[in-house]
Amino acid sequence: MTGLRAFTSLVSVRDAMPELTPTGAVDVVQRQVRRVRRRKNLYELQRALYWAIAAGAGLATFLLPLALFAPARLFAGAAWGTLAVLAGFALILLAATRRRWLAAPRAIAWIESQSPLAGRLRTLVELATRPNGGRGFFHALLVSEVGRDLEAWTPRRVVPRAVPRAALATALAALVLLVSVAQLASFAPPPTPAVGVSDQPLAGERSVTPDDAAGGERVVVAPGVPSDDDAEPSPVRDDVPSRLSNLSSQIQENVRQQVWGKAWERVRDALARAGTSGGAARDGQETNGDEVTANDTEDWEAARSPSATGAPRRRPGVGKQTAESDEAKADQNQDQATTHDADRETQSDDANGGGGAGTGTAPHLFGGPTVDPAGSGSFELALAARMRTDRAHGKRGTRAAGPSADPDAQPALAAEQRRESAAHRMTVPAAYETVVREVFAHRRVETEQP
Amino acid sequence: MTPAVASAAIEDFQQVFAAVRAEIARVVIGHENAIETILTAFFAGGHVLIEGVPGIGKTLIVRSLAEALNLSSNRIQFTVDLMPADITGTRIITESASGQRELSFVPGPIFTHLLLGDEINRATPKTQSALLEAMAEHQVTVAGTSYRLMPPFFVLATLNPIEMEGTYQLPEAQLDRFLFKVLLAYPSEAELIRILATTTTADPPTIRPVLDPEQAPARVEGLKRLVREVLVAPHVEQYVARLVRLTTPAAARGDGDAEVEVRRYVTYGASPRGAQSLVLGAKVMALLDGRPHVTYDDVDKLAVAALRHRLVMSFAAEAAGVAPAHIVERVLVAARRLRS
Repeated sequence: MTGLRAFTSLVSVRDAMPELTPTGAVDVVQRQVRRVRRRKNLYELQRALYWAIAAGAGLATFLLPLALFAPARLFAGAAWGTLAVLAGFALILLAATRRRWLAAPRAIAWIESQSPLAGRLRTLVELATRPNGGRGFFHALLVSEVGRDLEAWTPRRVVPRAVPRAALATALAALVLLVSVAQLASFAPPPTPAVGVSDQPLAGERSVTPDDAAGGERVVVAPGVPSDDDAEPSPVRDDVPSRLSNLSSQIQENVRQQVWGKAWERVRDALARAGTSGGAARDGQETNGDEVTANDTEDWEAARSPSATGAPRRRPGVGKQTAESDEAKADQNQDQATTHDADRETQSDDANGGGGAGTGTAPHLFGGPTVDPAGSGSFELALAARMRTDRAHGKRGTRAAGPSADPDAQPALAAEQRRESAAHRMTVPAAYETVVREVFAHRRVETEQP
Repeated sequence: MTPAVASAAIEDFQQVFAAVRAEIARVVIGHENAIETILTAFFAGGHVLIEGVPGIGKTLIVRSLAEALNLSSNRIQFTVDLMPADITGTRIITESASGQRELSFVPGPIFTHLLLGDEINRATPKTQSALLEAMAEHQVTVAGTSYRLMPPFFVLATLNPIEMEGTYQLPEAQLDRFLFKVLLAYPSEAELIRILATTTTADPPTIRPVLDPEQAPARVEGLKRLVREVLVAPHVEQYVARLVRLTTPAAARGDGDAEVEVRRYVTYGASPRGAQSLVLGAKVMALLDGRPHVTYDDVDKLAVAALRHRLVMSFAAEAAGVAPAHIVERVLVAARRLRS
């Protein structure tokens, strides 16, 4: 209490108005004007800052779910749109702050508009700039009245609040909302999808990349679907990622990383495995002799398969389509995936491609056992085979037509050699084959077998 | 000068003004605003042009003002055959006691404190112009000799707006010398009843002088000087300058309503005398409000009275029936936006 009293007395001494004299009146007035300006401008700065925070947090709250759950393209559009809105708001805020900013030339006029001074303050200060401004019959009276009115326009009276409460409350509310949304989102990490391989293209499905929305319980790796308009390879891709889209993708990736942490890393790794599984599947098919030529020109794509238990999720890249078409496509894909799984399981003994996508397991997921394990020093297990074509050299899904059925016909050769990633094959000593296969192969669930 | 003395001077001014206004109000029923404007012009050192139909109390106002202030007053009825010498005075041959003849000046009715020029537009321009020098410089020159008028000198001229035949439009130079132009409206029914009740009795109300007869001229001059001591800040002067300049077509370049109307309906705008009259009148208003300085509102109150008779309207304005007061009000609205 003693400290409070001392502080109060100190403030009262500081705020005590000095006795005005005609010679020093203008100086006293100017000092108080400066104090009012400081308080007013600080108030306006705070208001602008709080509104900026509120706007930023509000828009971030809007963007956060999009960053976590929406596909990259949708998030990019929303992010840049939000950025435009934020820029517009910033301009408006800047203009408003500039309008409210109390510059020195109009400070006295503003103070008089806020206080019942009837223009005497401005008259005194302006007349002081004239050579004979300090003289005159009424000058002393004017100084006296200004001195009497000094209490009427102290900084605390003219700018009663030091903090813009509404703006501050809005900013805090927006921040709380943002944090709440982030916390809620962190409790709903995406499920790590199971990766499977199909040897049939999933019509209508779009490739899955780590930038795509998380979710989905299964990811099926399948050959790409050639389309009619993609028959001629285009030298320039339409959807070449620009710096801006890369930036938005990075932002989205960072947001997911920050919010979901290791859960997101697992999803990303699974999606990355889906990319390698395509190569693994292709590797398996390469061993099938005649099919190698036909499949060699195909891209392998990883497509999200609808959950077997839940409702089909919205596919990335099909945001413009109607929900009905989404659901129909999801059903179609689910059927295809199921068919592919069944084919894979039935053909797993014959074709050495990767099977086992889905809930069922395949003991020969990574290819059949070596015919003569002891005949060679090692065997190859396609754990990380990556044979996908480089997408920078062709539109996605673009592939040359297969060679003619006529064995004498000359096939059309590509203009250049197709770029491929290096194939990773793990060379394992043959003696460990049984153990390795035991470790990596899925176990068939007997109860699920028909 | 100490604040107490200055404050007492303002109070004295307010008391005299209020007392004179109250005395006039005892005789003149209604016209409160017109009387205040006339008194404002009087203490500001200007002259007033009153426009009103006959019989609404123009002469009564002037006579009451003179009686209340204990000042001398004369009345001149302007007619077509009125000559300048009938106003200013003339030189006549007089014979002294020694038999020597000499020209001596006989002052005309203009040599008074308060002069009522009734129906001034009935005199020829030559006669009207006889007032020019007296109103502006407070002196009369006859045969090369200048004679000072007794201060305070106040001219209150009247115009009859309904009998325009045989009248002469007042020249712009003459109009410009009037500080304000006041329109006397026809009294309302209630005012008319009060007029009947007070003027048709056996003992009509009379004016009690506010000032001492010996000291009245000096007191009035002192009050007029006090008015000129009122402080005017540069921003108010700038406002007045903008306001007056906006009434001139050459300066009204903007696309606002006021500027467009000024360019269309005004041939010549207000002169610098208009700005002076605005500031002087505003000073009186400030004193009446107890302030030692002028504000925007003081200027606005008197803008119409000070500027409307200084605008020379175009034929388009006459054809469209646009009054100068309308232009001044439009200009006021535009000028308020330009307040710094």
